[in-house]
Amino acid sequence: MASTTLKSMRLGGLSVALLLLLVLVSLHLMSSAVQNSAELSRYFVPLLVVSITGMFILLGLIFYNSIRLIRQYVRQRAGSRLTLRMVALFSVISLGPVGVVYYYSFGFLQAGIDSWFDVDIDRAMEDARELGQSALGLNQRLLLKYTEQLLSSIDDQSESALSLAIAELRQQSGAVELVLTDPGGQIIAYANVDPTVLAPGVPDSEIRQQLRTGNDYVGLEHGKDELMIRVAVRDPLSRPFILQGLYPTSTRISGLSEKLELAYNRYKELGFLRQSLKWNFSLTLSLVLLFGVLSAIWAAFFTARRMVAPIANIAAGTRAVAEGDYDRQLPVPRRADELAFLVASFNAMTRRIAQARDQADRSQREVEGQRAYLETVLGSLSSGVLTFDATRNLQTANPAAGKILGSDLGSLIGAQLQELALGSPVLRQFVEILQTPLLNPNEEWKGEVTLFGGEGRKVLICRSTPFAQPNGRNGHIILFDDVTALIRAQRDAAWGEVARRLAHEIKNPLTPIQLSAERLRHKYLHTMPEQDARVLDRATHTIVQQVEAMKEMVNDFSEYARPPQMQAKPLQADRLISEVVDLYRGIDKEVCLDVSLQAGTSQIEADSLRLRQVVHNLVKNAQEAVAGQDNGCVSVSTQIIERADHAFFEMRVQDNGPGFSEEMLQHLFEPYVTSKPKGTGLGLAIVKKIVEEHGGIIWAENCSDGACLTLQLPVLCGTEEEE
Amino acid sequence: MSGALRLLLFFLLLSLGTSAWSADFTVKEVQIELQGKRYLMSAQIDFQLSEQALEALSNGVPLTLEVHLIVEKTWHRFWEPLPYEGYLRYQIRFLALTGLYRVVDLQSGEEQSFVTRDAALRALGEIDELALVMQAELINGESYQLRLRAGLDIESLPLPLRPLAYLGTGWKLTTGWTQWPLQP
Repeated sequence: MASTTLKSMRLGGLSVALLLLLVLVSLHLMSSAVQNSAELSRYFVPLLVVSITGMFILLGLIFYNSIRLIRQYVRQRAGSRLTLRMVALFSVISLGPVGVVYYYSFGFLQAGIDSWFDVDIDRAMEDARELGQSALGLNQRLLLKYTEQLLSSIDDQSESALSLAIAELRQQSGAVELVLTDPGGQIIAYANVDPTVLAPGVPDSEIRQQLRTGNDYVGLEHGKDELMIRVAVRDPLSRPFILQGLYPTSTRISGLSEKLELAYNRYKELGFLRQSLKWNFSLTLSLVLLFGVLSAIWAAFFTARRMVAPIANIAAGTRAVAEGDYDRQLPVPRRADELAFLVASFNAMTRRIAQARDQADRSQREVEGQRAYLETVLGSLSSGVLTFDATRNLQTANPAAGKILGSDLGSLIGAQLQELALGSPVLRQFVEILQTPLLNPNEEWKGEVTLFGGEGRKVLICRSTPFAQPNGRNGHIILFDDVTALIRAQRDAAWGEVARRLAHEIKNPLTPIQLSAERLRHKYLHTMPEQDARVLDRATHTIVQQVEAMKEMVNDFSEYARPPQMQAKPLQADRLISEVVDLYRGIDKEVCLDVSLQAGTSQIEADSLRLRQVVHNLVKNAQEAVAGQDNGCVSVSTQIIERADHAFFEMRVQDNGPGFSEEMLQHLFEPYVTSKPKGTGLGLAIVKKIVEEHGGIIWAENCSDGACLTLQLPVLCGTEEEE
Repeated sequence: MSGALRLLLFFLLLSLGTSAWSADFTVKEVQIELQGKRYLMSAQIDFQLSEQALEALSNGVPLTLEVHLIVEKTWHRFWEPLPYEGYLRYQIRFLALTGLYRVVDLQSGEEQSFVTRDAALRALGEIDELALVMQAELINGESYQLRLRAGLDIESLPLPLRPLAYLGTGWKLTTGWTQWPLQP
């Protein structure tokens, strides 16, 4: 756009320059014409028209430019103020000297032309004319008298005598022509110096009129080569005669008269034309002045625009760069000055900025490519990946992280670590665990994290690795895997193996032991004295009982080792618990059983047989814990608890027994851990195993007056009641 | 500087001035007669000079009067040749020493002197039996006319006077075009 402006400016400038040249040539020719150039004088008026038209066009151009400039100034266009200032400055600078020159030139012109005419010369010319007229008048008067005398001298009035007399008188007087007429103008006699001229010239009507009024006439006439004096007189003797004579003046008088007349006429004409001449010179001078002023103003516009255009372009270009247009290139002025250097520097700057922008774009595309690649990799990972910046704002979270933590982490990008804790219970637990490692920006951390949430217990292997951020501070990459299933599988596999070996190793000798004990009893019970028989009976009975117990234990092991064959179905937990608890009512009358089932019709997804086993174990253990104790009491309560968006079924079995020791609490759910003399130590291990298989969690704690076991299972949402 | 102001006023009055002139030249009479095989024209034109022209004349400025004559078809088409076109140019000049008005026929160079201006102008306005066109040059049955215009020739004025004559008042003296029937 700026290039087009410059081009149009050049084109417009060339057109106006041609116009100026045309007007200048026209004015020059006008000036030549005014100075009496014969060839050009007839073109004066066309030249005047051309000049005035050209200047009107120039005036229109200046007016248009002025309006445009004022409009640009009002709109505060770039460069308009500078242009206006320069135009005003140039105009004032040019108007001053031109005005002074015009003022003095005008005065000199007027005075110069006036100086051609002097009062003394005027007087001299008038005197010369009067002198000439006096001389000629004297001559005329003499010839008038002389002609009267000639007419008086005619005596004979016959026609022939008159003709002869006239011819003689003409010759005598030296007249060119003598004509004798009657008062009516009828020619009576005629004589001419040229015999070939047969008829006299017709006198002027004014002469005839004067004669008719009774006055004589004398006047000058211009002959072919000389000045003539015409005289017409009436007869002093009152005869009806009029004598007209045409007398030549002397050659000297004629020549001097002619010269005087020419000079006087020329002087008179010049005097008359003086005013016109002043007008013409003044007009030409004024037009030249006007041309000069208009040219200067237009040149001021043109020059100012040309000078300001690069500055305005730079201003517009700077604005464009500020708005992000780095491809703007300005036309470099052809003249090698500071402005051209400035424009070239601006172009170099925008080029470099554009290159830098392109480079940044390429880098950004590469980064985005790498980011997309990374996101793809992260997205396809089964491990959860979170990144935090130095201020512990979540920067990245891959889909696996959200899946493992059960939250939409994508919507939490940018959130502070503490804000993540508000998302869900799982996230809250996770955040609490991450607090410490994230506070140490330069240390790696690795640990196992156990979370409990809507989906049950989860075990995560976490690793925190610091990474350097562009600002020089360290962020953190949190990498974690859900190893719940893996641990469970490993544990199950290990315990299954143990149970299987134990069952195998233990069960094999039990039957021979039992059979041997029964054979001893059968063979020696009746043969032994009564006292010994009682001992034997008791011993064998004990052996058999213990073997049975060991068989049961082995069967339990087998049960534990058996791979889970869950047949989970939605069921109302309260109904199932009620059925089981009812079996224990009245068994031990010393132990009260307090049942409070508040879960209502909420359902859980569980294998009813295995869940019954859990309830049996917990209630039975509690009863055994308070057995033999006064006021022993077991309470079984259920409720639905809400954590964040998830509902959980909670069952608490509490007794008012002695509670668990600290050491017991730590290993309570491990196999072979029991406080009962006859316990196998597998009950709570199996309970924990079943609860975990149902995605639940169980823990034990000491209450204010006894032990308390609490299990929580996820509640099914919107399921039908158990069929 | 009063001259400059007058000049400015002059520019302002330029457009008004052109419309202020008066046509004081009138064609009083035109007679066209066929003598032999040629049409002859006699005319009487009244040249009433304006005040400005009279002032110029009395100050020795020669005035040139031009009579433009055209014989053409009444319904003339511009591309058709004209049977006759001619100019009669006369110059009148006042001679201060002798007080005479000299009239020069610029075609023939003949000069005449008149004691009074009226006599000179009257003589200028009388055209006597000017040969126009041969009868044979005209088409029988076609309608012809003589167009005549007489006026002051500004281009023949002295150069300093011309701009004022073109732009000022009192100098555009012309009869305008007058038509006179000419029947072959």
